[in-house]
Amino acid sequence: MAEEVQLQQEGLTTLHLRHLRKKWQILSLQVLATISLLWMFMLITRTYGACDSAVVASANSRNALYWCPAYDHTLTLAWMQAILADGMSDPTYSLPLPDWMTGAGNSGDGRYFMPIVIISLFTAGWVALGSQTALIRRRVSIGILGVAIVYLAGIFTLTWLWGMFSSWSLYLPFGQTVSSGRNHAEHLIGPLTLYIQLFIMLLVFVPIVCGLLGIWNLSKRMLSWAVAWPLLFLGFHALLSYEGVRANFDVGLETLPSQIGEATEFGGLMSPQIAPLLLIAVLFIVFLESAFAVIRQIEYAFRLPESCKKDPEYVRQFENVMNHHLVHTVGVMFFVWLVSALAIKFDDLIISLVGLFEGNQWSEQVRESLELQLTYGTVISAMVFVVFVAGLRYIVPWQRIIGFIEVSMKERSEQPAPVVEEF
Amino acid sequence: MWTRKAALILTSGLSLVLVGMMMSNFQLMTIGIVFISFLTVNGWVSGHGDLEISRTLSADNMYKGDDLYVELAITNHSSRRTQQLEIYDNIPHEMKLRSGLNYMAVNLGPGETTRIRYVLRCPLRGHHSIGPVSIRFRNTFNLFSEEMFINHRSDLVIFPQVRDIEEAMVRSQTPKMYTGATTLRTPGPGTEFFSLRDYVPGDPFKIINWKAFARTGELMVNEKCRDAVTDVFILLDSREIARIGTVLKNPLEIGSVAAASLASYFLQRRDSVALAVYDDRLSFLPQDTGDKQYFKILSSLAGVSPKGAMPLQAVTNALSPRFSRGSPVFIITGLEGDSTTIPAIRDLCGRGHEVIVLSPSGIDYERIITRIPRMSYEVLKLERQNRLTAIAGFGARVIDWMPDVELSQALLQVKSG
Repeated sequence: MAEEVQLQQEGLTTLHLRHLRKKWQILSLQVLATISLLWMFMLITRTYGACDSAVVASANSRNALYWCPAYDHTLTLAWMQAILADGMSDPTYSLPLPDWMTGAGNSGDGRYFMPIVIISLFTAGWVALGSQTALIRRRVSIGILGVAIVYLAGIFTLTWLWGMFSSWSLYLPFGQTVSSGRNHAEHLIGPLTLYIQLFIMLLVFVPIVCGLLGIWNLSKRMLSWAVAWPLLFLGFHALLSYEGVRANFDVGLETLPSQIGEATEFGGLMSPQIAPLLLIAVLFIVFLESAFAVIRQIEYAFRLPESCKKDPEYVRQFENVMNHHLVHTVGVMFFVWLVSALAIKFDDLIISLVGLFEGNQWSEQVRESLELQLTYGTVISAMVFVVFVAGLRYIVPWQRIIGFIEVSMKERSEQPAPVVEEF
Repeated sequence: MWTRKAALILTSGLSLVLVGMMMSNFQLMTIGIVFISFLTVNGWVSGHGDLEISRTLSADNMYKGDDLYVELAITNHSSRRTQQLEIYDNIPHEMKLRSGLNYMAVNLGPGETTRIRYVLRCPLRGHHSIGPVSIRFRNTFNLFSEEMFINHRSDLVIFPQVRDIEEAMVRSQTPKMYTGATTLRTPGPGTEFFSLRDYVPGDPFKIINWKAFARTGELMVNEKCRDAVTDVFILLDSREIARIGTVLKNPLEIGSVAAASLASYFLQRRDSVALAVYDDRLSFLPQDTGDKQYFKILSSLAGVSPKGAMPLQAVTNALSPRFSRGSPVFIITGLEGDSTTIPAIRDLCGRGHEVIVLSPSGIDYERIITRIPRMSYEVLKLERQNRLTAIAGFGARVIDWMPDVELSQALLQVKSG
């Protein structure tokens, strides 16, 4: 039926990018992703940032430096500094970037705080630059590149040219004796060392650099790098610390425990060995989902036509979607953590349950079964538990229950205030 | 349905669990278990499309090129949240979005309503239908999706455009014998007052002259002068060949505009207009006057589509008993692919009808979409000119209508023999 149709309305809040950037839901997701990323990074460095204790002890006994491909940039920087100092026969030599900036010399989490602060400042600057015009962005990028090139080759080229001009002869800037003053390649060592130092730091801080740029500069490519890099490292670590590989090629990495210890954390829910591993995995998903969700939702809003961006209905539904994304992120991730923890603990639960049938030969056999407590038993029982949890969907109508709660809360909030009669 | 991401997470999770088991690496196993738990927990959340949809249109009938305002109200009457839904109102591909969007991502709570408002431009005449509403549930983390439909449709008729041709008709050489309704000094159906007479049972109450009744005490009724009207016949060629050209610019499209405009012009002058559309069969709308007839003609023209190859001779033969003597006949045809056109028009002229042939130049429409070699084009144009000259030779008025010429301009280019 043809009727009067209202035109699209215009509200005060819109879905323009400048408003979205300040929307609390978007900011919350970005902050959540940032916290997850930093926390995950710190947990990874705590878990994978040390060499095998035997390697460390052996080096300490010889008062020598040691190195292993652990997730710690200070190890590599210290090793590099020692090699260069040895090569220059200068025991006081130090790398161009000061230790307070790289975190070298610190122990524990202190090794990462300052680099993270610097990277955060760099990211903030880069994001701010992203809001400038294309011309300014291009000029700044070219400027940074130009400074880097001039710093690398400027002094080298100038001294070489001046050397040739003052001696009025053509010569190569390398392969000359140091005393002749014609070995200008020496001027390259300083800048190259700085760049190598930066590169080493970058290798370790790739997840932070790419992750922060991805979250705040809305780049899917950067996020993919931030996700792929830790996974690649974990894969290599698993391979290099695998018993079969270590037997032939030991790089001195600290191995993860092959047995789940006694569950003492979270009220006896999990062992201290598993807790950080589980947290790393959960934080990995929280970071991934929150960061990509921000980009996905902003892309949706960005693609809306101008009239829809101003339409209060679109704004309301956008907020609805974002609010529930936040609720799901918190709720679902909590349950993921809980289900995973219970799944890993499920073998213990089975043994405890079987223990109820005391005096039974079968129950005694199961209780003493080593297989159930070893890796295979843990994983298989975990999978059984996960399948059970998946089946709960058909048993517990929790969505309907939450719906009823939501309706009753809405009705309560919409009820008019009782009229107070005055006598 | 699982998305590609969910499948990837499941395979990654299982692979990590298996590799972790083989290498006794708890980190890989834990990540694998967390991936699988992530899928499992997300499996608890499912959306639903149990929605009430109501669509309001600003008009049920409209003219080609007009804007249509659409409002789609979506209400969740269920007692649980819909979760993240993408709602897409299917619109005919012929229509173009002018403002707003027929899509919205929503998450409706119990009892919540939202409205999608958009404006469509309707560049093509026809009988169209808006709907159904497509709904896609997407899990918050894009792991599962489910597609649903709500079969809610709104029908819409787009009439051909009606151009103002009054000035062109006055200035053109089209014969002026049909000058609209003329009053005759005899009683009958008409508009002007003729006389009073006594009421006889069966006379409608609305023609009773109450003042005369009050004065004389007897029931008297008004009688009107009989209006003499001209019967105008419009024959529209809707054969398959009339589709040549683009979707918006082809002989049939502009022919239907011409038919609607002519009908409007003559009906406004209180003439009777009849419409015959021939494609694979003949559809005939008998002559009549008034707004109802106008609506009928526009509705018929809205539904016209190119098909078939009925010869004009068959049309004129079938209609000859219905043609009023000496009435003008407008034939809107490209004069292509029908060898009976010339004899049919000759017969009509011979029977004393005033025949006006409005002929969109098919070869020029074809030229818009394909490249025709110059020589071939010249030959085809020459053949067409010969055909037009032959028709004009029988006494018919011929209008060679080129694609870029307005109807009012074309009507001024009448050529007679």
